[in-house]
Amino acid sequence: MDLDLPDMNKKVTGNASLLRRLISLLADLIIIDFVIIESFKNLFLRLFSGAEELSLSAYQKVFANSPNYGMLFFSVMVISILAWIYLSVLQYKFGQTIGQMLVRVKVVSQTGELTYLQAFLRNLFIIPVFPFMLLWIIDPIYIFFDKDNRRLSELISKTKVEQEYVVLYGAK
Amino acid sequence: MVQNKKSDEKKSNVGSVFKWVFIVLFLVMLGLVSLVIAGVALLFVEVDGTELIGDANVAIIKVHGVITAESSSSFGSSSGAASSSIVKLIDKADENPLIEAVLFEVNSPGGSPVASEEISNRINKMDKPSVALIREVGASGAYWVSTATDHIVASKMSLTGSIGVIGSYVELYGFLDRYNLSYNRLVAGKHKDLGTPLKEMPEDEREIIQDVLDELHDEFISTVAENRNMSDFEVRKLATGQYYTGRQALENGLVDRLGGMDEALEYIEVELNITAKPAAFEEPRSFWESLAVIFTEQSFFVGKGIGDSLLENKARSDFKVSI
Repeated sequence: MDLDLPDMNKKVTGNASLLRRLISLLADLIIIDFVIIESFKNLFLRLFSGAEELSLSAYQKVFANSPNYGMLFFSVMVISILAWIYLSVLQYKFGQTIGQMLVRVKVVSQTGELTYLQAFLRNLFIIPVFPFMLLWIIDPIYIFFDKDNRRLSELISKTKVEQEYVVLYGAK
Repeated sequence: MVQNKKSDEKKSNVGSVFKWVFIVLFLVMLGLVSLVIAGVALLFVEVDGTELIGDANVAIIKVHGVITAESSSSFGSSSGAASSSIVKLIDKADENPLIEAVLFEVNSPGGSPVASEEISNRINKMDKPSVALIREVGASGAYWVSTATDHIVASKMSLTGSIGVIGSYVELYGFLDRYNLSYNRLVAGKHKDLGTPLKEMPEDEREIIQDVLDELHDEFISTVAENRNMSDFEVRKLATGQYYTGRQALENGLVDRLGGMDEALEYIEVELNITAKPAAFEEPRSFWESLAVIFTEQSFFVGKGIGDSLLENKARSDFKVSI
């Protein structure tokens, strides 16, 4: 006998899976590459000119003179700051970057509405200067020790990444 | 209730459209900002020849224009060969471990004896082999500079030599006299206004100036003789102040070889047993200098394009020989 029961499936939010988070990060890095880094490729080619691959000698050439190193550092900083803006503005505005939209995960604040400060704070890891560079090691390790799978920057900014789960109550 | 649901759906669609418009505009803005910053950075990198040598092993340092002690600039662009800048470039080339030899591209009528000596002395102190390539003109002070290198290559059509010193000027006292103007001489020290064009030069002052010129000439001759491994007597015979063509200079031992860039690089390759890969060493330009260069080059090519198209038909009928 078939019972015409109402749909009992319920959507609940929980911690986003690590796989989804990783995929969203990779997707965002690809977007950052296309939108921001692509413009700097000519500059990098010129800085490393004469080297078909980034061999040790190419690095020697770049670092042979300090102004050359200065230009490289400047470019990397500009790219990082623009990437920081990309991640933070989209997360503040929509709770999601494009990568996060693809895998349907969302950044939420644990203190109410997500603020700009929280959004910028949680993405500080992308700036390649000390002490933020330490987050490259600490952040992913911290995920495994936090009950909400948060990175250390997320703990500090009081944010977390969530996804929707469908709970099946009594469907056929 | 159905109406409310439809209204909510409509609002959600509008929100979604706004969201994607914002995202697209935001990405375009980020892209444009990156493009502008990278473009400006590239502009500065491109002109800073000393930092961007790639896999080059030969530094090319230009000695173009009148040799002066300090560079003079106007409207954002600097001209001439300032010894202060050239010495700095030699320092950079000498200190750079990737650079194995330095090639001086000379195209200058000479200039200040002090500035020429400064460059020449710095070349003499270099640890690396050096070559001078005299293109159109490498005369007087520019020849002095060239002699400091290990090898001089000159185009056979080039003008070189001019081993002499000049201090001539236009005397204006006759002109002033004609217009009833007079020079009110107020000096403490008999020869303080030595060489002023506003009075007729007395014989004793002429002798003083001539002595100075002779001394500089002697210094020039002895430097050339020392640098070129020639005797003072040999150089003095050639040091009449006259120009020599590249071919005449070769016959008289003032240059080592006729040719151009290929021959100059060949000397380096043979001497060092390397494959010469040259890179221009230039002083970084300021932002305004870079802008001036862009506008000058653009204006030049626009003008050249118009001129070429206008003269195209005329050129077909006029046979000209130019050197």
